[in-house]
Amino acid sequence: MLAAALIVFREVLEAALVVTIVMAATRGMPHRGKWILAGITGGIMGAGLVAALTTAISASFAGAGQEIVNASILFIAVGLISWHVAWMNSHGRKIASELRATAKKVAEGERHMSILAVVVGLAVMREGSEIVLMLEGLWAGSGAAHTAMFAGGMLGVAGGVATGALMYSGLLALSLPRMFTLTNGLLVLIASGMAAHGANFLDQAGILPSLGSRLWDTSFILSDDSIPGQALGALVGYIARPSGIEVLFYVATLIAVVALIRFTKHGAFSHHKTLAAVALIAGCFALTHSAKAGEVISPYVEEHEWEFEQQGIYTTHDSNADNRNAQDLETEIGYSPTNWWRTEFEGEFARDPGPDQENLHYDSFNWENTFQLAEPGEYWLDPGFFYEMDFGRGSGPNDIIAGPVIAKQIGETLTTMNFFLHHEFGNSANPHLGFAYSDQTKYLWKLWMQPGFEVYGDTDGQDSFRNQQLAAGPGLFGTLPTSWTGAGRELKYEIAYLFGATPASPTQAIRWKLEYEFFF
Amino acid sequence: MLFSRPLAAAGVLFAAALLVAAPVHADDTASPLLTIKNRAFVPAEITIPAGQKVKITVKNEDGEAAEFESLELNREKVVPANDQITLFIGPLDPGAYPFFNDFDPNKAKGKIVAK
Repeated sequence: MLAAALIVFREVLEAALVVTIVMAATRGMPHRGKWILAGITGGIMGAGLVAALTTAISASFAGAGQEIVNASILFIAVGLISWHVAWMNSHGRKIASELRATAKKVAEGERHMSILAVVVGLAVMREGSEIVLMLEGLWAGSGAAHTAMFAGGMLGVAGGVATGALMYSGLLALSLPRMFTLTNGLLVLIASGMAAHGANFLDQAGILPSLGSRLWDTSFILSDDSIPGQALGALVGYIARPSGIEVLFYVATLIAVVALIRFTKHGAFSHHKTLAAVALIAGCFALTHSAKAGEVISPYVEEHEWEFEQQGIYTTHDSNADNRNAQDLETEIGYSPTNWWRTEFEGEFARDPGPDQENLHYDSFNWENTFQLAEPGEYWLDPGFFYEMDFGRGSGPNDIIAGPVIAKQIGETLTTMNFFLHHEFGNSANPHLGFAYSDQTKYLWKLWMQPGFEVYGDTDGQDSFRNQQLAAGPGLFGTLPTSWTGAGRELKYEIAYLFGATPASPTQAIRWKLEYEFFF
Repeated sequence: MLFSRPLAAAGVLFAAALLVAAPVHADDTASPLLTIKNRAFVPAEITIPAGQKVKITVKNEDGEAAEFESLELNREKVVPANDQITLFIGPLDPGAYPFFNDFDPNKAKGKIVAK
């Protein structure tokens, strides 16, 4: 009975927390009660639907359907909560009363409330479906103690709702500005916890690596099987024995949401721009990828700069059927601790060329380091050094890539070149040392558009040139106007179309990169 | 070995480039000072000799960080609050090269004129 109570308590509390916070944060907004109720109702119906379809869902996605559905719901919720927090922060504390004032603001409030209703619905749906599924498992295994389980479930519901109500009255007691700050802060932590939870689901599904199954163990301080542990888990995402990927997603989400808040401070918020930025970067996951050649590294490092990067390369056309449909996608977070060192952590997803290959899958976790060796302009060319280690997933090889990077400006033209040696180790490793060379040359026409070309070559450890990689083609590079992103933050893009010069290279491929740089 | 030729060529090229590119000492008489006050550059226009490498000092007198950025000069460097940095510019062809403070929402601008 206690097991059932605990499960239900935790799930109901998580949903109640979101409902409570949304209710407190929307105090004074018109019709918010109806919206929230609609959200809760929709969530319960959705939970029922998910539970009913549970067999079909589990069987899909090669058995990982359940985890993927849960993770997707979580990540969508994270996105919506982030949006809400940024919106709230930008519009300031007076919004609740001001919203009654003008028709326009009422309409805006309605649109905002609809988003919040979806947030509430998602929270209820997720928790609800988890409750049903977990209880199903318990029911099947509990033999004759069904009454006890039912009682436990009811106890859990009561406990969760009561805690939520307690929190609500506590929040009501605060002054409006304080309450908004507190609820915003809590939502940021709840979102980070959800992202970590989502990462855990994808880890279970084999889509993400666990990066260490137990980074630390604080269950001696507070076990997450206890009631306070569960409450803290729901509130701030406390996990007593977190895996590496959970910690990574928690921290990354925390940083991303706080950066989003600062990005939209002081009324600079624009629905379109924020949604566009979030969708652009997140949506790049949908764009898929191809052959490994994909980036010319620059030797320039800017101290204390953070960056998020999404890039990919995709074979658009190949005359050889065995070389088609290769894809490569990388998602990366980087930081420069000094003015001469930039370090980046990256997840790489790939699909190998040819028919009957495994679909886009997690390929490796990469650690990249760029060292700026001299002040730009100090010497005739700007030198740097690059060092990367790729940790392949269990069945794949590890890789080390290293070598000099050089940049040189001649008049209005900037050329950047890389010369790397690379070698694989471990499972199915290519035993030969490879030499990869690349160039990016562009004309510094405008900040937002610099036309140029790129060349990528790689011996791949092959003797014969036919079996090596070489591709070149035109490209466009630039930095989007900072009137879009705000002072001190830059969104940079690179896109190139590459034509293969050897049979081993993709006949045609498109490569792209989006980079968001900011200071924290 | 198969990789040795392009590798050797690259290595020689790189080493030679570094040897040849020994630091050219900037003319001490042309070592301008650029100050940042209230996010703006003072002076807004600096003249330097063309065809010569010049060392510029950028001093930030504000309590908040600024960023010296220029597409044409290919420079992007943060100037911390109440601190200064040095930048190498050039050799430049004669002309005007704009720069701006990327940390300023109003994009305070300046210009380097090479004569």
